[in-house]
Amino acid sequence: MSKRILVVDDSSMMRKMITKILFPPGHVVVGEAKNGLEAIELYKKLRPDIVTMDITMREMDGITAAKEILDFDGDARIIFLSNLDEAKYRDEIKEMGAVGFVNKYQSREILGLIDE
Amino acid sequence: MNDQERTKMKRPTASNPIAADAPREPAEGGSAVRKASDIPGGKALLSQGKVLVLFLGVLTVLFAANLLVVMAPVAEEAAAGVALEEKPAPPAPWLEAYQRRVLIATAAAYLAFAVCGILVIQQVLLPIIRIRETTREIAEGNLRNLVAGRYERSLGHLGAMINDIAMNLQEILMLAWNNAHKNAVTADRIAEQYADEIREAAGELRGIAENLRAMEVLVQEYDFYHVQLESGSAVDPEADKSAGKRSSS
Repeated sequence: MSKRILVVDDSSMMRKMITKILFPPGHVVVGEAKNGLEAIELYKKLRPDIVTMDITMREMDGITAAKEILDFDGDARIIFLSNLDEAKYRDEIKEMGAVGFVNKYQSREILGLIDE
Repeated sequence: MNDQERTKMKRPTASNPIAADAPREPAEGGSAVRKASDIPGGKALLSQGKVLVLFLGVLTVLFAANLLVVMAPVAEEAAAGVALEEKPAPPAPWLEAYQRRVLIATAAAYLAFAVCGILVIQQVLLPIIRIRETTREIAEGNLRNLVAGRYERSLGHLGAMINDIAMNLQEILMLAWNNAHKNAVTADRIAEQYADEIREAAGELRGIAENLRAMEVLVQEYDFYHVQLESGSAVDPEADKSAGKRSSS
């Protein structure tokens, strides 16, 4: 089942890696953003099915951006992908209505979440 | 230095990357080397002022010397005119007009040169200094500060690319650290659990765990942007603060 995905990460290498993981199952990366501000702008323009969202970013962090995207579109599907520990964000993420959290060192888990 | 000491040392740095650094340093001693690199652009600012003052100073001295050379004959003639009043010899009017023109032309040339110089310094030299200082910080392992400024011009592109390298480096290191830590914990647990059954293998597993810990320690030497590594967990020390900001806004 192919999904249109917006990849948000400040590191160009990480964006490449995520794209590589998403490609074989047939997902399409419709856009890449390198901070929260770009992510919001691109979300409004591209209306992707899913957003993979880094947390630590300059200009605007992922949590803030996700909240703004969810304010704009309550049905937005956002998956956080971060190096940080999930424990600290679990409640905040659940509360805001994001799909889930994947640690970057197990990036492949993201495929499971996308299929759900 | 054990891990606990390291985390203690890092805490004030990470919680407030810019402001907390300067006052923190003197108390700690020993880490004076870090000082210059902990104040982003501090050195660049210093150089900025120095470069401009030096440039304008040299220019002023040159202009003054030029002025003296151009005016010298007039002064001599005037002196001569006062001393030998009986000798009429009025200065040729064309000479004065010529001198005036030379003077105006020289002043204009200096002004143009000053403007060009300031432009070159501001548009080229200072960005290069900024980029150099930030690159040095990155090389020294501080990934908290990036090259500041606008990125649309050619030098800005250079800055943006260096920033990208720094962000990628943080990403690789975080990945290595996460992997090293989780695998070390797993290896230790397996070695513990099956110590009796697989005596030799358990020894090897402990070796692996040790190697992985060495990797962890290496990565902990870096200063990250909005990430603090301590006892196996990567947290954002700014998160509480920004969460407060977010909920209040």
